[in-house]
Amino acid sequence: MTTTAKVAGILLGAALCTLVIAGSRVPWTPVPDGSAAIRLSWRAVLPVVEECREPTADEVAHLPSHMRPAEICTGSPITFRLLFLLDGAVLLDELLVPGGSRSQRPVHVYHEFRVAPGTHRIEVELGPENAEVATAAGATTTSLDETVRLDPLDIVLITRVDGALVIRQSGLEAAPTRF
Amino acid sequence: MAPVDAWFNRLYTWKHNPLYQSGTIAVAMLAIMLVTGLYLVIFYRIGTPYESVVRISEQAWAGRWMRSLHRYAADVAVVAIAVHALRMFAQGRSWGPRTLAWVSGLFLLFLMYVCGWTGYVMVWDVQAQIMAVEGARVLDALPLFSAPIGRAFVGESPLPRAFFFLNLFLHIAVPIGVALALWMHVSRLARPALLPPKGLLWGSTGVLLALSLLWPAPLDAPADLLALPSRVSVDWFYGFWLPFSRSIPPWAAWAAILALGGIVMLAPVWTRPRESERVPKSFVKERFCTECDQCTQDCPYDAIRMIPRSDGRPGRVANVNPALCVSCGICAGSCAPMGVGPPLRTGRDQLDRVGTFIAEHTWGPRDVILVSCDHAASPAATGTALEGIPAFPVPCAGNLHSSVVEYLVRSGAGGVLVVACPPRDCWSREGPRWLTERLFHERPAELKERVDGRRVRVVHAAEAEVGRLVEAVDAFRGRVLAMDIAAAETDIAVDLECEIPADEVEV
Ligand code: HEM
Ligand code: SF4
Ligand code: SF4
Repeated sequence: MTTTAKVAGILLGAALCTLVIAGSRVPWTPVPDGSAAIRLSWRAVLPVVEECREPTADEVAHLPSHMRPAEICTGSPITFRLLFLLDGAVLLDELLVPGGSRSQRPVHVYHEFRVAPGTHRIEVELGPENAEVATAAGATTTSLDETVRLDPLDIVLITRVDGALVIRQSGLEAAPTRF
Repeated sequence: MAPVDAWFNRLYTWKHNPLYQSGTIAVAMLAIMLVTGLYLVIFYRIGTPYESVVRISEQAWAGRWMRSLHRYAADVAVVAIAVHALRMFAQGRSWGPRTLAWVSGLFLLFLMYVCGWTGYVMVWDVQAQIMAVEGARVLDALPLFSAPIGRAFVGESPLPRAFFFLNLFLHIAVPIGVALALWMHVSRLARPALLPPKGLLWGSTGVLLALSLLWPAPLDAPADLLALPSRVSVDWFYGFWLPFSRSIPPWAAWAAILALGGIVMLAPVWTRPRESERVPKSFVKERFCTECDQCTQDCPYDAIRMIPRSDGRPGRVANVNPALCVSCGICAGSCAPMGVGPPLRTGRDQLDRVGTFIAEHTWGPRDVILVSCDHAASPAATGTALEGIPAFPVPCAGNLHSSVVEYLVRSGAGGVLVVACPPRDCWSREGPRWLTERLFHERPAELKERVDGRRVRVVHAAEAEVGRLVEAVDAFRGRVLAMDIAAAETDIAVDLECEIPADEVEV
């Protein structure tokens, strides 16, 4: 093997490795249009209307004594409706239905909308579908109506804290931007 | 691929050709990642991930290049694995007993990506944030989780230490899986070559180290879950999917992953030749076997073992396990009494064929004859350069029984030049290696002393190295012409060591 081939080999090896390393740092702009985003995200355990009764003698007869329940309850879920409006236009109209056999699983709200930077009016309403049943179970409607300013790449997060809808934005701690 | 191979052979020699060594380079990169990773983990903090990586990058004497070397080795590993897998595919080494290597190889690649993903998330810069958010988005499309994991990254609350702990745990645990999968990957191979030759090992490490010092790995701005990512530098090898993850719905991403994964995973099925085109498995003619054990040592796939004889004679006999045999035919060249090999490829079959070949050609003591491997540079591809030189083809140079070479020399040829693939690129792993040992270093079944060794040569010429073949033929012809001893023999009686009853001769 000639010295020229050796040197060329080392140079080619170095060039190929440099190419690989260049591929390991490719500049990329994930949001080229510089848009902003609004997120809705929270977890909630929705109230359930429970009806309980004492078990009949037949129902407990075949159960060992330590497994006999004092009462048998059936739960019917309260379906909530989530409405999200951006500048008066409905972007989301969703029914929140808890899962699980007894409808006791928490629901997860998780949506992201890309929006143009600027000032936007945000309206969110979260309330039970069937007002009568809901009132009986003590379920109430919560809402939020705010105007926020979003710079390019800003994110506004709408979440729920202690049952209330709140806005979070980078650099604003928990306080929403108010106008 | 062939012309690129030839170019690389010119620059690196076949021994150090990185294309031939892609599998071993991947192992070497894993070793570099292990060593540098052990250093990095000492300084990494799950409570302050980003800040700890900043501190590591500020250690000018070690941390900065250790981190860069760790990352660059991971990148080179992906490239090496891709080349390695492509070569295996192109050489048809993806089905039959190689299925385990194929499937475990894909599993290794998958584990490499899990490792890469967790590794990048550990840094918790903007690239990490994108990887985490997009990874979670794709995962959330599966009905696996009771709560969407993407919600962890919405900025509702800071990421818990537990997240970084789990991530670090995976980043350390998955390499243990890689080691196990690698063991499984090469478990069917005898004498797996795991590391590249020293020159290539230290050369590639040195180049990566120099690049780590001169061009350290970048670190983006810290992750901010309440901001969309601005301009980042993305590792294309691990993050190639990021630009597409937003443009297609997650279900479509999964459909694409499953379709592509399924197609590649099922390669052992769709690359398997039709039954009629497959070379049958090797078999042993028990009565010829002298219990020498050589084929068990030479089989590159550990497919032969010795078992008690079944013909009433004492002792053991070689036995081929068809589930492991890839029909490479290398055992045919191992067996002095010519008792083993795939049908029509045993030493006896080769002698039959070469007998016909000799009968069909005439040559004198100044002529050179070629024995050419089907995968090496083809004499026909040299155009007119080797016109008129008889060439006896063999499916793999490692199949060649030394008696065939003896037969050709003793039939009056001036010299026999065996054209073999570069040893690191043998489609059957060890063919050229055993060939050289048998012809020149007395490995059984060795070329007998009575054959003038100066009349036998081996040239390693890859498919596109026709120029090298022509040069080798010219040089060898010159040497043969310079010999003043007449080579021609008459009355050749090839010694088969065992007598073959006429009814047992394979046709
Ligand atoms: C981390 C990833 C990988 C590493 C470190 C690796 C390394 C190796 C090594 C060292 C060998 C033994 C070579 C020899 O001694 O002949 C080998 C064989 C093999 N590899 Fe890989 N490999 C990897 C991934 C893959 C992938 C992704 C595929 C294909 C999908 C693949 C397919 C094969 C096959 C089929 C063989 C057996 C060749 C034969 O039986 O002739 N490998 N690999
Ligand atoms: S090389 Fe031939 S003689 Fe030796 S063990 Fe194998 S089959 Fe038997
Ligand atoms: S043909 Fe012979 S050497 Fe090749 S795998 Fe089968 S038994 Fe082993």
